[in-house]
Amino acid sequence: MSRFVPRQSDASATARGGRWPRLIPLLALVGVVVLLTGCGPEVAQPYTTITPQNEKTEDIQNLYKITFWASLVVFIGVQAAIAYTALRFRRRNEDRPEQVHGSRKLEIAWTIIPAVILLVLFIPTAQTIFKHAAAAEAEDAFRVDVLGKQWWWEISYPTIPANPDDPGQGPLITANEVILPVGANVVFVLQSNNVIHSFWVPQLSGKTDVMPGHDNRLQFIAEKPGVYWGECAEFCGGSHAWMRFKVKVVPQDEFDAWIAAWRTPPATDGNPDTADVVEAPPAFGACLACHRVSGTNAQIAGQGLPANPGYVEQDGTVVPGPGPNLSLLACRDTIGAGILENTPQNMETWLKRTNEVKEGVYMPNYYDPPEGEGLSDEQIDELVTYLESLKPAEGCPGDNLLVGSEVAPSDVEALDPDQVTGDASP
Amino acid sequence: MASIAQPRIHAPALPRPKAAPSGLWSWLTTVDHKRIAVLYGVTAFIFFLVGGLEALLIRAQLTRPENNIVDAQRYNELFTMHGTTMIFLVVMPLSVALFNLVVPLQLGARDVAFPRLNGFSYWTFLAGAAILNIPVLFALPEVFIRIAGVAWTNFFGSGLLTTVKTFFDFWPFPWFNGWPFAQYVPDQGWYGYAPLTERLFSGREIDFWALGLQVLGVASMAGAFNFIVTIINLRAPGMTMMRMPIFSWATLITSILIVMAFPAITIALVLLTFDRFGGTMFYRAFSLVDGTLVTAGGDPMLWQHLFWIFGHPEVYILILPAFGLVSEIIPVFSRKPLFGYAVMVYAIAAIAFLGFGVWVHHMFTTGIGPTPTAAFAAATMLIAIPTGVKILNWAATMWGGSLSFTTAMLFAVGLVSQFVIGGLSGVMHAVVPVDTQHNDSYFVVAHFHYVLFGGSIFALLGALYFYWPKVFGKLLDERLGKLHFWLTFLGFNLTFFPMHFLGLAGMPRRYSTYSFESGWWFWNVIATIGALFIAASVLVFLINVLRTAQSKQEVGPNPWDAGTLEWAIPSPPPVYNFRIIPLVTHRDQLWHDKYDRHQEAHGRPDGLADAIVELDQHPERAAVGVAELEAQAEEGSIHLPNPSYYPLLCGIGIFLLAFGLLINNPHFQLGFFGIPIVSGIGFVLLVTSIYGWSFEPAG
Repeated sequence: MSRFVPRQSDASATARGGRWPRLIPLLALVGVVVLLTGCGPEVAQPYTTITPQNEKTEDIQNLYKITFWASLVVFIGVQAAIAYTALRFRRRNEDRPEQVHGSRKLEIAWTIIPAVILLVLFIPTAQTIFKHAAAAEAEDAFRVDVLGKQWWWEISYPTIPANPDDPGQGPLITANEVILPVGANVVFVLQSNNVIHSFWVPQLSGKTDVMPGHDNRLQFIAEKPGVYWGECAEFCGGSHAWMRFKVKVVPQDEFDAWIAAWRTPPATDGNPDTADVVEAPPAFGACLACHRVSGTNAQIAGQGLPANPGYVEQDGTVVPGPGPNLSLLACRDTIGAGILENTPQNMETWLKRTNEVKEGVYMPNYYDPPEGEGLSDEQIDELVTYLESLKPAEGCPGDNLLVGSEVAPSDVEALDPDQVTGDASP
Repeated sequence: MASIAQPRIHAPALPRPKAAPSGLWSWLTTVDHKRIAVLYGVTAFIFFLVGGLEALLIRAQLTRPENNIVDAQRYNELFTMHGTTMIFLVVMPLSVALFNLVVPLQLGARDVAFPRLNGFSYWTFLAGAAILNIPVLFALPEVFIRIAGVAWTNFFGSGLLTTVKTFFDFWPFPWFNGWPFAQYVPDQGWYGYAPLTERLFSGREIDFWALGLQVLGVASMAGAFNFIVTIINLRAPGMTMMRMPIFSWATLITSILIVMAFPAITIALVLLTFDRFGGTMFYRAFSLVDGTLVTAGGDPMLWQHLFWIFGHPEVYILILPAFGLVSEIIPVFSRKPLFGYAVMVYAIAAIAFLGFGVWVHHMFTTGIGPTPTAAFAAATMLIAIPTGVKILNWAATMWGGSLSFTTAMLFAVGLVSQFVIGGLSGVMHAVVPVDTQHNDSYFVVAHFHYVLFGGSIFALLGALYFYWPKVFGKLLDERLGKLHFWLTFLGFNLTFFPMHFLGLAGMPRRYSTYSFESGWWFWNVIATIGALFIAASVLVFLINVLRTAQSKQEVGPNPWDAGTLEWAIPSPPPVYNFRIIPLVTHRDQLWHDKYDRHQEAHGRPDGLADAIVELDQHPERAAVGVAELEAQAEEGSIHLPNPSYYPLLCGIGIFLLAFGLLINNPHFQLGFFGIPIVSGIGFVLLVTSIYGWSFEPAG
């Protein structure tokens, strides 16, 4: 290997002195990067992918760690080699260096070594792919149907009827919040009748696309009570950024209470003025074109929601499709799939300036419509009062839960995997 | 080859341009590969500025949570056009500019095989670029005035915003309904996933995008065929394939990739157009009939497969020319031949071949099932092997060399170093379970910017410094060049490295804004600061170009002491390139002639490239004098293609044909009895030009 020995430079002592100043920009850059990496602020990151909260994300995280460390070694090795070569073989005279055309041994070596590393990486990759795919086919899992809409999520529970006495009323339906009993082995069946979305709860699972015409499945076990933030990860048009949702993993009794509350009319003490908000205000009639509230007269009034996904005609006319089910609306954290916190003031803003708050939304503005006269301030007030009363008297599920990113990973590891089975369906 | 008798063709006497040395007309009718290279380069650089401006607006919007610099609609348009512009209108044409400039010179040819087709490629490219960007031209002023309005409102209270709004509501031409074209900026993302591009969920902007890409595809295909034929047929005598410079290899393989990959997107776009206008249901799983949703039988997965069968080779269409350029630059400034030339050629070929077998890795989260997922993961990992070999061979080329860090070399070594980062994050994406977390997040945005900016753009910028003296006869300023490099390097890493952290923190790409609670603001601020550094670096480059243009300097044929044939002829090269077509005996012919020839045992007088160098030093010895040669070129006995109107006219025809279809809608009312008149004019022009072209004498 003598031809890889560099020429001995007579002037190396002096050249070395002049070499370091040239390195200053590079060192400064490395310094800045290191400084920035270390100085990132301690902010809560509820969508983070690197604090797994169940076995599935733990699997992913373990694979990520392997690839990360392998990559780091390769990265440092290559960068060091480049930096060292760049420094050592700087031009110091006009001599022509030895003309080396290649080295078969070396080239074979650095073909085989990466191949071996990649093979080592591929084996656990393939194992995990098949493991996760098999889990999604589990027969005894708790099924939840997810319908991606522009730009919100409809969640329905096919195993939980809306009315146990009348299966014809269909399953229990909610929107933008998935309530799950702790320990449930959940399989989400992802559907879309419009464009492609992607269902992603980073702390509980990787994403799976919601593909029109395909019933994609995504499985995970809700091991730990908590609130986990989810989002749409496939570009789906206008308000793609505001298609957030939450997964609330609650104890089994809270889950049962939530189902019971969904089925019964809202508490009458929700509104001190009328003392009976089970009766929706007359202005709510307009909302019934697209929305339903189960457990109240709103469900009975009018059958059949629009059969289209919501779209815009070529001339710009907005054709709304079915909107989110409003049962227990006051329990949801946000309005408009994450865009506003759910408060009476914000509800008023939403009803009065719908299209300004959420760009491209299919819900018409009934307060300030483009044509004709809209609802009055009093009617909006009535609607806000009614909507904000839609919650159970005994409180909402998951009220006292920590956000997932605040749950310590050690708590998850401590959980006995044998307890985590699929018998959570009520 | 110096003199070819032209067959006499009895053709209709069509008007023909005269070969003029300068002036606008000479540029419009040129078929000279060097001039077409300049046209491509200048156009691509203008679009680099446009795409960069779009990037800056994107960064400005994301600097803080719930920002309102642009609304969601405009934001979607910005990232769509940023991606489409940078891929199709910057990196591809800049590569083509270098193909045009370098390849015929490296091969020892007088021009490409089909010079008029070369002109046609450029004008058709410009037509496609115009179709894509005419809406942008109208929308960008609106965006800036809106930003000014928002800023005014923030500082001085409301008032101006209303005035601005009123101004834009006013448009003095009643037959245009509002500010023309501004609402037609494509907004569906550069990979335009159906069914978002179906008419139910989109407007006419998709047609601008689809037709613009179709026209660009015509230009790319014509160019690719041209270079394949040129490289196969026009190599100088003695230049076997394995003596061919590596950049010409990269060009050949890239051209083959273009020829094989573009038909896939052409078909995909034709089917999309059928879906949009013909009521077919290729990509529609559901259809709306009388307000009711019915199963349509189509499948949005079909679009994704067709698109990525094009789209993944496209990635290599963007990076392989860069690999070729780096393989030219590093040996020159190391004063050593490329380490493992044959393996480098095989590696390019292997990457290109495997590139057709990995498209599903863009679709790992679409639910295609575990077996194809695992198979495509394995194929994706395989690509890392030839890529890794290339990286290490470049490092080995430098090892033991005599390294001179000119700006070109800095950019080339910058690629070697930065591409490693993009390559490693690429391997992470092949680990599918990890990819389900990274896919469609900012981690992917970081990855492909490390590959396309740290890869393609670095190499192309380096190549600008490297080949600038060959084109213009002047060296770009090295001090400004080094400032340019370090600003780019710093800004690039500040912008895109934090995006890894954003992706790990769960920030999906294509989010027009984000909430404060998501915790993403810090790294977004850093990324925006980095983008400002990149903007500053581009300004430094522009200053460098202007100062160099004003400087009075003359460089010789070979300012870098490079070894390939393009450095044997004067800078800038004469229109006929080579007085004598050189005889090639070695890979780095000039190095051989200069350093090695006298050491060879048999000492035969090989290497006519050597004779060329000698001719430049002693023109009086030439058998054929310079003046005589130029006279021959003038009268056509050196076989040089004549300038022609027809490539330009064909380009205009294609533009009118496509653009006429786009504006033939009630919004513009430019049809006449339902006949799209603009398209009609374009069609007639196109057919007439092809006819004229066919009968134009070659010589």
